[in-house]
Amino acid sequence: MGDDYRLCGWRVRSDFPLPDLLPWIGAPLAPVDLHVELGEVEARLADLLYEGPILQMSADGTCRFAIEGVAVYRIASDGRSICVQPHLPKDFSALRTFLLGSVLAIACQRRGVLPLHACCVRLATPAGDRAVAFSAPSGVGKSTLATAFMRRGYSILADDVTLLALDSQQRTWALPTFPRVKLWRDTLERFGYEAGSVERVRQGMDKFSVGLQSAEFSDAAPLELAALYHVERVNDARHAGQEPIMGLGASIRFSHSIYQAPALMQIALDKAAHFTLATRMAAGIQSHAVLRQLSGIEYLDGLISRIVTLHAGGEL
Amino acid sequence: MSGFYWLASYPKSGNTWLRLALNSYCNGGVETDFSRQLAFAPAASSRRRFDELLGVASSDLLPEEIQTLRPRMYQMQALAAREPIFNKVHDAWQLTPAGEPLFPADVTLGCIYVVRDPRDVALSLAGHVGMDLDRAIDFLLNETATLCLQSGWLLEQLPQFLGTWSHHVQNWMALPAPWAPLLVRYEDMLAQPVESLARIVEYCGWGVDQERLELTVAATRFERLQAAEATHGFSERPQRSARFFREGRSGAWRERLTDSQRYRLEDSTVAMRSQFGYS
Repeated sequence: MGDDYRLCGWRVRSDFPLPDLLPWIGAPLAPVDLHVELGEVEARLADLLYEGPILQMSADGTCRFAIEGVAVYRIASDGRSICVQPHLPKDFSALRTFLLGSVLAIACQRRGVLPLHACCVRLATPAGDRAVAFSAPSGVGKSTLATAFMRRGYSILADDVTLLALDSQQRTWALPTFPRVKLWRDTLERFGYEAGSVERVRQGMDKFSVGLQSAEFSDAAPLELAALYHVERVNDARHAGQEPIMGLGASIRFSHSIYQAPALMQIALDKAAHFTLATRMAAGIQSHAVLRQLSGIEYLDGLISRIVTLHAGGEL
Repeated sequence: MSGFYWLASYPKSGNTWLRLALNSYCNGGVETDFSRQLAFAPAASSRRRFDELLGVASSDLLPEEIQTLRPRMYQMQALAAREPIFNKVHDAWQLTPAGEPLFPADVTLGCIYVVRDPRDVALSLAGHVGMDLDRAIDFLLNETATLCLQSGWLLEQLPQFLGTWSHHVQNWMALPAPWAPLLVRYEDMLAQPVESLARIVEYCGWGVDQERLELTVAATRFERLQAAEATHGFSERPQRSARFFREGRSGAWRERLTDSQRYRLEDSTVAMRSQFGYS
């Protein structure tokens, strides 16, 4: 018997507590969409098609993801179950970190949901509330930007990995993930959190997982993705600015922004289908832009005001 | 399958200048376009490349886990490459916690190590990151000095252990093949740029073309780089520093270091300095 949670609208059942996720509130008899089980995971999958230092994939699409000293995960080829063999029973926070990061990204890809390396915020537009995503490599400040949006009263759908789905009309939607942001100590303290009162992402690491208040997380339903900004941090004001991108350029940038894109492509069973899905999802987003943002937390307020005004006025 | 040329140096020793010159040379001796990022010889410590190739978020890994996995990243990249890959390196040459070289022998085609008088390095470092000279000297003498340490905040580069300046120079210099580096003194790059570049180009296995060498040297002369930065800025300039290309000469330490700063640095670097004629 496990606990039931919700994630991307799915019913998730887990053999161990996942306090990062919100509890399931849907129909009590609804089927389980994703099962997280505790069990043994083989050292080597059968019929290996790909074997990397962390990832393996067998010919039937089953994946194995291993972090020595933390846990090994086996992701079913249909992305509907994940088996976890912990190495470190005492550090369950580390186990959850990889489960809800790379492992979830693989499971999503197997279900036609693409993980984008982006934070995602809910903004008002003349057509109603929409999702707006900001993609950037690690270290550029996605979680910091997400937190700055929350401090201004906006709710987020994701802080690091935004999950995207395509509907039957070829529109791209952002799915609500879970109400957490991961912040390094410096940012955590700048936003006034007490490091002592929040959980560390891993023991011995200066990175923390902050649980969000209900007003800070947009949990209600998927939102259509109105815009994707590719954030590049610049140190020189002369390099700052915003530039729309379209067509092939937008599609290529989108593909590069998929979470751990080359690794996910490596383990895509049908690479052509993966590529086609990415192309369609890029086309299903109304606007794409490159945003060259001057480094520094002090410039985020100005950026947020500009983006909010832009979308509120429907000037896209 | 190909491999790497590691362009290694202690920070602020002329690595960027070398990258600009090699980039210019491969493009026929052209001037660098400072309105774009310099794509030639990206950092071996790129966090993005690590995450994307290995399929794991390095920001969720402990520093020793990252070090253990870095050789795999280079092997994966070399396996997929058809041409030699050039990477900038500031890490000290070292073994990973698993006991293997951080830069694996089987994917190493060669190394170029740039060395600069540590007294000028201290000056340049202080100006680059906006720290006072005493702290810059502390850094050069710090046995545990590490760039981009994942503590408190995250940077786009992975952590890079350097150790002291002397340790850094000595470790890279003493390496056997395949690493055994071509040693280049910053001061020689300044005084005899064409000859220095010719040696490097030849080492990289490229054809040595005298006219192209001269064009390259002219295009990457320090004053030209300074002027280009003044017009377009330079993407690798840290925010705290007014400009990246600051002085670019050798011997400025004679005017700028106090006696006590100078003696402190000199006393701890005697052996290595004497090997390079930094008296």
